[in-house]
Amino acid sequence: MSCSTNSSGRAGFAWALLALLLLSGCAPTGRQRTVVLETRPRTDIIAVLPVQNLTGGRAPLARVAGLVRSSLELSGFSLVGDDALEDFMRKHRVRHTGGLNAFVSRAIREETGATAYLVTSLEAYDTQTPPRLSLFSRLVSSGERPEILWMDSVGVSGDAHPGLLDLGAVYDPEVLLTKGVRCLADSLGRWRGYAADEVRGASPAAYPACGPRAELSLLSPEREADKQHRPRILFRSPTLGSGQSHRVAVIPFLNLSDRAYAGSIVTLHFINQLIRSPQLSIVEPGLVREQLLKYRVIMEAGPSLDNAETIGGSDSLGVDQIVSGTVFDYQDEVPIPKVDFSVNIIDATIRRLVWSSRSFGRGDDRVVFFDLGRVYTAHNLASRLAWGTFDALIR
Amino acid sequence: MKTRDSAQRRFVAPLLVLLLAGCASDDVYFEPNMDFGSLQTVAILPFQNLSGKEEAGERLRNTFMSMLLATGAVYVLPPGEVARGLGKISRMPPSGPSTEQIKELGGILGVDALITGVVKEYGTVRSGATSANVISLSLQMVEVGDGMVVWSASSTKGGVTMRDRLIGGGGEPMDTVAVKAVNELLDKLFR
Repeated sequence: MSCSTNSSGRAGFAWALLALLLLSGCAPTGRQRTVVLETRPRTDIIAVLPVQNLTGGRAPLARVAGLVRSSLELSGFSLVGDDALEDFMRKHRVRHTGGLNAFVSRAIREETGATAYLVTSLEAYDTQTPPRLSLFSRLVSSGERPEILWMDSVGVSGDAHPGLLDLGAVYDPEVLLTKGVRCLADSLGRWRGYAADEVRGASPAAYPACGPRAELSLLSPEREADKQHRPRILFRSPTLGSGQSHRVAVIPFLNLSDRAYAGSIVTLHFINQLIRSPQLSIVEPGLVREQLLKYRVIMEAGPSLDNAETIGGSDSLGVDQIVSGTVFDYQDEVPIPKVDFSVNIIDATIRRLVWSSRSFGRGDDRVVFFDLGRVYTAHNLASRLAWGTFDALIR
Repeated sequence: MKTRDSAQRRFVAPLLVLLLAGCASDDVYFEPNMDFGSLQTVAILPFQNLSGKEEAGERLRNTFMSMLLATGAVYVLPPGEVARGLGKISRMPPSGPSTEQIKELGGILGVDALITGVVKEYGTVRSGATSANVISLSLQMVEVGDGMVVWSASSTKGGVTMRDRLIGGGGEPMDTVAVKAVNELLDKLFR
């Protein structure tokens, strides 16, 4: 009897120990921050612009746009009708769908009733095995002074999470596309519900299928510990004080790589990171493009100090910092992605270069054992490198 | 006996040449009368590219610019500003600017010195079944006041090492080799 009691006591102790270990496994690793975010403005009606093609080849743009529309409708957003938007685009002869200028932005509000418009850029759509897909999306307020309200991106690859016996591998590009669009729609939905969401200590691992989450980058302990993707070469002027507020224009990066549109893609990666800082106000790329066209600014090697002053001093932008750069490599075709770019920041008020950095990396930089730590897409690698630069900038 | 002596001489002579080559002075030139501490702002002109790799000059120029700025010793003009200055002077020969053009460019850009460079090698070298990345770069600094060369140095990094031959692996990545080459040049500039 006593033996039985002892054995049940030991068993109880073992179960308690096991439960304690399991519970400790659920505890968050690293520092957990609590951030109270401000209430976001309501976006009542959204116009979903046709998808911008940055793939450098043919891509099912209409299919992507249709999926984005249906995903947003499922998430409860009200959208401008297809016909109304098409009529508007035709009337104003809008060809560039990567952003709208101030005039068209005001017109879209007045004529379609859209309080915001969604700009979606398809970076990569590869149907080869394993399929790959990369998308950027941003929500911009309509009206005379368009501002970026929300932005996120997703880079997914069919072989990123193969699991046991490749059971988790995705071979159908359509499945990947649906998953990618869903990731973005969910992110937009979470943004809309931020007023009630006070604690965001979640790990990027909470969204494994969506790649590194830019929206969580400021808060995640894993990203804080990621020193691998910080700039390899860095100059920071003492005049570039931390904690000061700046209005920043990101000029399309110069593309010296073999990948078409790599300059525009890395520009979007940067904007995607920079908008996370409450100290920085980022000019909507559609307005930057408008100014460059208006003043006929041609930059063969990046902006000159005069260019910076022209862009910065223009009434509609009113920026004090100009971010530019050069993309040397953006390889997504090979099994191991490779990205290499430089970033320069010119302070337009003092006409001086205040930041210069160079970042480069390969998808297998962190691999030490089999494929653990491998980055499968150039999109995710560039996103991490852009985060590394951003992290060094805001510190 | 005589045959043995001549065979020894044939072996020893090349060995001596190799040993003496190791004692050769390094490839750095400093203008003795130049006060390098007075240099505050410099402009780096596009490097002349003699390698087969397109854009090698721009890649190395960018690496050098960022690393020189990172030293904090001098301020380097942004490449767009240099391009603006180059657009204002008469056509520059591929071998580099003339003395008059250097003075003119210095006045337009408001810099104390110009840095020009030549990329001699940028690519992969093979030795048997082994290959590795190699970079060879030479730079010179010209003072804009009188157009005189005040500093010149070169660096070659990378290539097939004994480790590459034994273990393989294809040598170091090109970016790492570039950083090493530029680092060596900066060491030669600031020593």
